[in-house]
Amino acid sequence: MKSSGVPVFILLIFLIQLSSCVEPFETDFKEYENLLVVQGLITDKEGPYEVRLSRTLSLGPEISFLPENNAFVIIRDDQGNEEILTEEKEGIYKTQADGIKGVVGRTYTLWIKTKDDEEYESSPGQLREVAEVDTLYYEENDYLVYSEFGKKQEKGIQIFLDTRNGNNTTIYYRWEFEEAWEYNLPYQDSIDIPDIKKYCWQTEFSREILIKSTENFSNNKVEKFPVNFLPSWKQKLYGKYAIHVKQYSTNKELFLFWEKLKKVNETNGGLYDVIPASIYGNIYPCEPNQKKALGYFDASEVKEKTLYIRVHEHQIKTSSDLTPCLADTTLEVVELSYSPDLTEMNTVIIQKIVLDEIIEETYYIIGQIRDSFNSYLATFFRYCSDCRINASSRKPDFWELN
Amino acid sequence: MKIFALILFVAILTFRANCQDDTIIISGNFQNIPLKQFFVEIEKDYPVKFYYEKNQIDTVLVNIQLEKETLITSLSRILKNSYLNFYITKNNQVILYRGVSLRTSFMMRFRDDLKKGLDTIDKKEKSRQALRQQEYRIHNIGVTGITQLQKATISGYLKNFFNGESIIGGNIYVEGAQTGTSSGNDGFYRLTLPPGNYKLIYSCIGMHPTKRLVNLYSNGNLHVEMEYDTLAIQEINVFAYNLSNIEKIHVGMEKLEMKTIQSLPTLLGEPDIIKSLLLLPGVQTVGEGTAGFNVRGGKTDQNLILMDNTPIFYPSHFFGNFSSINPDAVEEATLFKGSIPAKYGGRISSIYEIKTKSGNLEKIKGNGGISPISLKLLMDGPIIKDKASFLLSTRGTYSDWVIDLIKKSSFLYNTKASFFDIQGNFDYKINKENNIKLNYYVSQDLFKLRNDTLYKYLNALASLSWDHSFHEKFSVNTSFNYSSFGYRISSDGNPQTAHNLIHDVSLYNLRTDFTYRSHSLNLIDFGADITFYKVNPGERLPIGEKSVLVPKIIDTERAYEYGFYASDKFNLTPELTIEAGIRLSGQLVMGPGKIYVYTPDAPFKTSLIKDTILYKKNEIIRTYLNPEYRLSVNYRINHESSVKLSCAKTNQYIHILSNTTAISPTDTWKLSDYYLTPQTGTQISIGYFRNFLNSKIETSFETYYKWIKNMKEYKPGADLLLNNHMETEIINGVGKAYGVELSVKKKTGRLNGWLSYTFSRTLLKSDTPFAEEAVNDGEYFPASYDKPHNLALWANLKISRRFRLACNTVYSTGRPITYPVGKYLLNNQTILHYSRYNQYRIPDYFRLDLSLTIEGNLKRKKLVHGTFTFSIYNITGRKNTYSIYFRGQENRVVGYKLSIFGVAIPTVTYNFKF
Repeated sequence: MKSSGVPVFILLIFLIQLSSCVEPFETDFKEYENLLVVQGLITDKEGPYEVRLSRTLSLGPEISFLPENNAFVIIRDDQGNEEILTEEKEGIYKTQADGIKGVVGRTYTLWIKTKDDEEYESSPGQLREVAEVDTLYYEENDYLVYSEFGKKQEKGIQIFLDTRNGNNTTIYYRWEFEEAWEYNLPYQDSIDIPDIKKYCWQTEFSREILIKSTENFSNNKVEKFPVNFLPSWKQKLYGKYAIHVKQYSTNKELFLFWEKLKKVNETNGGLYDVIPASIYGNIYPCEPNQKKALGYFDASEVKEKTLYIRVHEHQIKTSSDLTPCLADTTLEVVELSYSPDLTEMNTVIIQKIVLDEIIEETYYIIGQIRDSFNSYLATFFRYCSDCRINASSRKPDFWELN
Repeated sequence: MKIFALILFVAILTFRANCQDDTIIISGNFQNIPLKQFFVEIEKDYPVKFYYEKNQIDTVLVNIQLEKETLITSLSRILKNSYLNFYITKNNQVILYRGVSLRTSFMMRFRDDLKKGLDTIDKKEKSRQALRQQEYRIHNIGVTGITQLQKATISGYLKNFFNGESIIGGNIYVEGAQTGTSSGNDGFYRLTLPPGNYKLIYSCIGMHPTKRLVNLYSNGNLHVEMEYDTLAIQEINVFAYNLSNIEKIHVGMEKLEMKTIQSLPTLLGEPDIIKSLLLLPGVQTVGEGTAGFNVRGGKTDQNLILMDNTPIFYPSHFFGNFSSINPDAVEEATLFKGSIPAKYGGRISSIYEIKTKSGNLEKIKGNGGISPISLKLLMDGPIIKDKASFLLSTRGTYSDWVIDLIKKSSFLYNTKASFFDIQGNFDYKINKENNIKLNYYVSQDLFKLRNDTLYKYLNALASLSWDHSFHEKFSVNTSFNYSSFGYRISSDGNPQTAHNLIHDVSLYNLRTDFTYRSHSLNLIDFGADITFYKVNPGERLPIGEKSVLVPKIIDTERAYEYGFYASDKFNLTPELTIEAGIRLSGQLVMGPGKIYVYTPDAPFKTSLIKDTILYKKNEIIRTYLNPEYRLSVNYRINHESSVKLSCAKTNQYIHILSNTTAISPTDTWKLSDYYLTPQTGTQISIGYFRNFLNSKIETSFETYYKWIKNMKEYKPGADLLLNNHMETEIINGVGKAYGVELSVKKKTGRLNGWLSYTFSRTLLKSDTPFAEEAVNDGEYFPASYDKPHNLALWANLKISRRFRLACNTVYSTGRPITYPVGKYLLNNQTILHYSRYNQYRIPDYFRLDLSLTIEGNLKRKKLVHGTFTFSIYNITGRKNTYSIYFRGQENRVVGYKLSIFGVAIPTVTYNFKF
């Protein structure tokens, strides 16, 4: 209790600096600027290569992609090779599998003519080499969760990356990753569930701009770059987890573009943050009075690496999104007079008498109890009966075989 | 015994009633003689008779050297350590007695005065009364009979009655003639008037105004002594401001009274000389708790803060939460937001002139305070009595050990917070003609906020100033000033990338200012100043052996900035005063340096560098020379109203590079160089000033229009840190700012305060021939600190002599921000697209603060006089929006509102004087 009055005041200073209050802010967005957005990459790997063309969206509706159809898209190199891309899905333009191929050292340019006859060209970019990914590794870290009740310490897994000390041309690194984890229905073997409904994988793509420059380092090696953080409260670590990282090199022009985009998009409202502004990449309009285009077209070698984290390898107490499916209240054994095909059937309508009233309820079927003749196990929650509701039963491409 | 006391009491009354003029002056050396023998010797030489009881004085030995001391001081010195008191009757009979029996209020008071070492009581009392009588006497100046005289001059010195110090800047006003003057650096004043009868009114801050009735016949002297204002406990007298706002020539000039600053409710209980400015019309800030202020549409780097002639670069603690200047050490603070005197230059928005106090020449005094964040102490006093004095003020935080104490809570994990500031001066009055003052100031901040980055800020100032007067009319001040600012930001969380980021700027300035007072209220100022700047734009150095960071050091910049000026203030007619000045300012950009040559007719881009030119040491890279003008006109319609006009042009050669909303901890100073041209500001302002109720209420209406050229704007997402080709990131901008400022002030009475309303706009535009780099398509857009409506109310109510209530209300339009105008998906991430700057606004700002000050008891004699201040900041607990930002989440765009003070924040401060 000693000098308990004083710390209050000191805390006060820190409250001002740190525990400020953030609330959602509702507003109407009146303005909308419609611009072409380009996302394109050519690598040294076999094609097809993909260029996505879309338009910026107004801020109200919750849609994410407004495709730009019927554009004329060409990738050219400095050797006189070129290929016209075909629109495979809406807004997604692809080269042929046996078409143009990225070669280290060559320079590539993207040329676009939209259906409104607006022409754009990317600045020419050399397909650069990139060093190998040396190691992908992780550490179990404590992190603090702040809430109005104070802070709480939790554990999580921080994934890092080291590059190999490769050639000296890679100065600007960029990474993308795809992560996947098991999403299996949590029922014991005593319940018969078709595998297709029981074993799934959830996948996610990197949603942050991951870049690093070694410009200011004496060696050309990236060490302990934080790639991704896995908090304990997500499904990710409940089963087996894998992260597949792609490492690219980029040039100074695009590195600055990514850096500015990151600054502007990852603000926390501090007055020391950069004032938001329009950030353009390396796609330029061919006519000076034409509207600008957003996005980029880059050429790079790609190096890949996958890291698996198995449940027994870490000490993180994790939880599963499917845990509620095990709760007693959601499970109910129902006797039925017929024996349906479980791979085909998902629901069954049950009539029950509750307080002298007949209630019809839809049960989502999980599976069959093996040693029972004509009874079934069912649940109210749809996602508890079929993992495909929230995930995919298709194993990710990079997932190891066993 | 009772009878004896009664007799004595009568004697006192008699004494009071018959103050005598002819005091007895004693000289002589009396070493180790009994008191009785001393009395015998004195009785021999002087017309004095001593009465005493022998056994009471037996033990007292006299050990004293007396040089022309009065009887009273001699005796009080001799009897200081004895139990004896004495009385002197009108017939110079001295009665000695044991002191306890006579505790009358009279007695106490006399003894206090004696103990304080003031002059003799009777002399003081007598002369005080005599001084007061001066107000009713008619003073005949000059010789009668010279009838043909057209004009005659009254001159004299204005002095402090108590300590004999010269009163600088006292106002002398001729009632009915609508003219006046003010006293100069040595207290000298001079008034030229046609012969006749006048009533002269003398006033000055902190002094009781006094008047003299004068029959002016021909040239002559009238020296005036002024008493301290006796209204409140050592407070500054508000009457001193009578007429001043009508008389003062500058429009857009705000004098902040220390009393006001002290009584404003503040966030952390710390009176703040910079934050208090925000209550003035035309002064704004981008957000709470940020460093710097914006004056009439200017950026934060366009204000020159001068502490005793020395520029201070970063007068803030804790990232701008409060200022690093202790208001207790400040004598007065004046903000020039309209016309800046020709004497000053180098910034285009405002000059904030802070004059620090000099030490007391009589005795050592002190005051201090305890607030939630700091402890402060100020001491001042004589080094050589009446000649040399010192002043020392320190403030420091005690928070670090408190943090250590509660570190276990881990809320303050990895946190450090400490700061201090020290300031003070030595003042030496060599003689009437010469005065030397040495000022110093140091402030340091050290912060670590729950991470691995340690911020260290350091400001240092020193100046040596010499006042010299050639004769009564002509004086010069020469000063050498040094100022520096620097920071070091250490990040050592990751050993591989551990580094220090360092930036510093320093200046050496030599200036000399002449003042010549010729006839008929004509004041001529002229002088010159030269400043050598050295800026280390930034360096990043690795820490430890593990760090693989390559050191990066940007070349040091050097430049000389210079200014020559002359200005003349004169009365064209008794009603019309004009101050006109010119200033020639410029800069020499000095080598060594590297200049990149870019492809002509294209924006500056690193890819377009054609050539590099190297300059050797001391080679001039570029010369800037700009004439500036200053004009102020004051037309007094009558003694209660005036119209003022001013126009001024200024240039600025040093800039803060900042592309964030507020000055950020890593922003750097940059000198104008080969490419970065100086900023230029031109302002016209007009004001109407009207006083009511015998100047008890002052009102003003001011309007201004300002053009700014070569303002520094930045390309989107510009990288300003460790960049050695800054010209590729900067676009010149032009700005226009205009506004109307209204204020009503009541400076006297139990309820005083002011109300101000400002309407102002600040619009900026990119000034570039290349459309592609122009912000907002080259159209005007509001500046980040453009807040059109501003209302501030400050009120101070004296409930009783011990209780004072102050309140502070602020309303302003929300500042502009940029909204996204589209979203798109790039590599699975929702990216927001922004387009035009500052087209929207955050919600309006409103805050109400209250404070209650309780003075310690009113006993005159006590060890310390203490004051408690309880204040509540943001009493309504309104969650004022600090910023609004947007994030892309999945397919949605989510807006967030950040507020810093969502609650009312109470603080208690204790201040004391001794």
